[in-house]
Amino acid sequence: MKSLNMERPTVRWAAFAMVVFEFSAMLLLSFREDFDYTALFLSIALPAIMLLQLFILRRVFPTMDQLMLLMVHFLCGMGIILLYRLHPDRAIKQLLFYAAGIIAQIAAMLLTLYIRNWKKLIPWMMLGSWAFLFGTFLFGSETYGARNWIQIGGFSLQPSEFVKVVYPFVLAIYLSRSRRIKELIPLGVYAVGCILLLVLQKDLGAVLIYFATAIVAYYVATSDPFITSIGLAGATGGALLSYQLFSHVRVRVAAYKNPWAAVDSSGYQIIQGLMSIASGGLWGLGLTLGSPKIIPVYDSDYIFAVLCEEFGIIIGLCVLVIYALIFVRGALVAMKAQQSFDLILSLSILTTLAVQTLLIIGGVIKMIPLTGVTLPFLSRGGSSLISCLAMMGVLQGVAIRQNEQEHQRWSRARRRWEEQP
Amino acid sequence: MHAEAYSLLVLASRYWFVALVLFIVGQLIYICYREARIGAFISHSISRLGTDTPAALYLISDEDHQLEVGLRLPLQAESIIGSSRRCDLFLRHGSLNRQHAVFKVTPEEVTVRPIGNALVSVNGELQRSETSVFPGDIVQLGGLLLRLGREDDE
Repeated sequence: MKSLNMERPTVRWAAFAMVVFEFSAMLLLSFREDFDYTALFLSIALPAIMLLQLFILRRVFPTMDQLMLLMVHFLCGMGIILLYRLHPDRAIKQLLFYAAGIIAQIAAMLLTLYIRNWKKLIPWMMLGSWAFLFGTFLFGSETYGARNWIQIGGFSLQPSEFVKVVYPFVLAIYLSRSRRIKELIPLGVYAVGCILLLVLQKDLGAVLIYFATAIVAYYVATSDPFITSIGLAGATGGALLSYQLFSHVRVRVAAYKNPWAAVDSSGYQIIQGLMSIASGGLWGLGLTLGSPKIIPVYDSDYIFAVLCEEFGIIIGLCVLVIYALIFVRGALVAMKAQQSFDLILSLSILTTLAVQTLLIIGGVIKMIPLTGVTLPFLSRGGSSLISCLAMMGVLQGVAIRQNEQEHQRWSRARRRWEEQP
Repeated sequence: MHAEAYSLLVLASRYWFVALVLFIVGQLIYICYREARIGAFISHSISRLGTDTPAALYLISDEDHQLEVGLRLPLQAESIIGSSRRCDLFLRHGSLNRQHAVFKVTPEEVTVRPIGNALVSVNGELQRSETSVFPGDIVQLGGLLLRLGREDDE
């Protein structure tokens, strides 16, 4: 019988290739016009941040999911490279947000690992989420039809992004404690409250993400097809109603159905995005040789089109494979979970990130109507980057706990096997 | 750098970047595949060899004689026991609530928590909150008496 090699594969070569990619791309940017010392500094700083994190965290938590950490930070590095090519000053700002995101990731990881009694924090989490979302509705400013930004001391924040981190915790705490409808009513009120506040802000992309997360978490916890079907039917009704109520939804659906009919207005962004991807071809036009700035919101929602134009469709597809691998590994972490809290928490986070990725990539390649959400880890936007990294921190926390428990069970099973006569 | 030379360098570098990213993705897929195989082997071995965590309940008495004495109820990491089909351990018994109690098994301990006002007692003591149970302890759920034992107890 063929024996299984039990030695864990090393991430060394993948990490090395990622470092070389980031270093060579930033080095190439440093030669763009006059020699750019900031780009040269970033060519060393970006890989160093990734490697330092890997080495330090691996030492402190040997059972962490190293591959997931590498994939996430490779995507973040790629985002900063693209931003630096587009707007060096915005890339530096993004780098600061990246640093804040790393702190948020580590903090979220430690909190997930060491806080045992989340139940006590439930009222604060629920009221805090509502206060954040209601505050945005009252004091927020409107961008691209949605009132989801708030200005604090020169910074623009998107509070719905931060609530995205707390929301899976509330779902997991309630759904892991009981499966009885009566005891889940406060959770229903909380989730519907969050979704209604987002509808009031006309942030329909976030509405879709919050709804999908709640319905997946509920179905995973209860396996109840009846309430899940009612929820899905309600969502379909809500989607039809929002189409009737909000003019910007109608405009976007019309632009999706036939962008050429409004080539100089609502369909302009979709057409420029598609042309940008097509002009890149398989190999891309080359870093700095494309003209992606012609696409509206090129550095945030349309960053995937920029990536395909300059790096080519092959690299674009590879980035999609990396996203898929992150979600598959996340799902494996959830499937290994020994407590229903960990299972629901990790699956809710995965649903949030996966739906967000699907919405924006589907919108950019004209598979579904465009919804203004950021592409996790790649797009410009501090709130989005910090919240996505914090969510990955939570997932890492669950992974560390599961791997430790599996290691203990495996050691016991081996001991039993050795003790057998 | 001269603009034309720079353009040539950028055009040439496209293939370098594609090669690097293909190598990265190949490595990532390979590592995921290997780790999944090792993970599957480990979970199979654990389930085959068993662990020393006590993880099964044995029915020792049923006052209504509806269930067979000696019935073995293997506990998962988290099992809800009750008379509803949605429970992890489903027992059709008049004295059990639809969702009666939750058992949690960790490497360190086994705990039981009554759901709502369900009647749960451990070694004769009525429980209102989560409490630890040890191998050999007698747990009463409604009219059922169960003993906690190891997973592979006869």
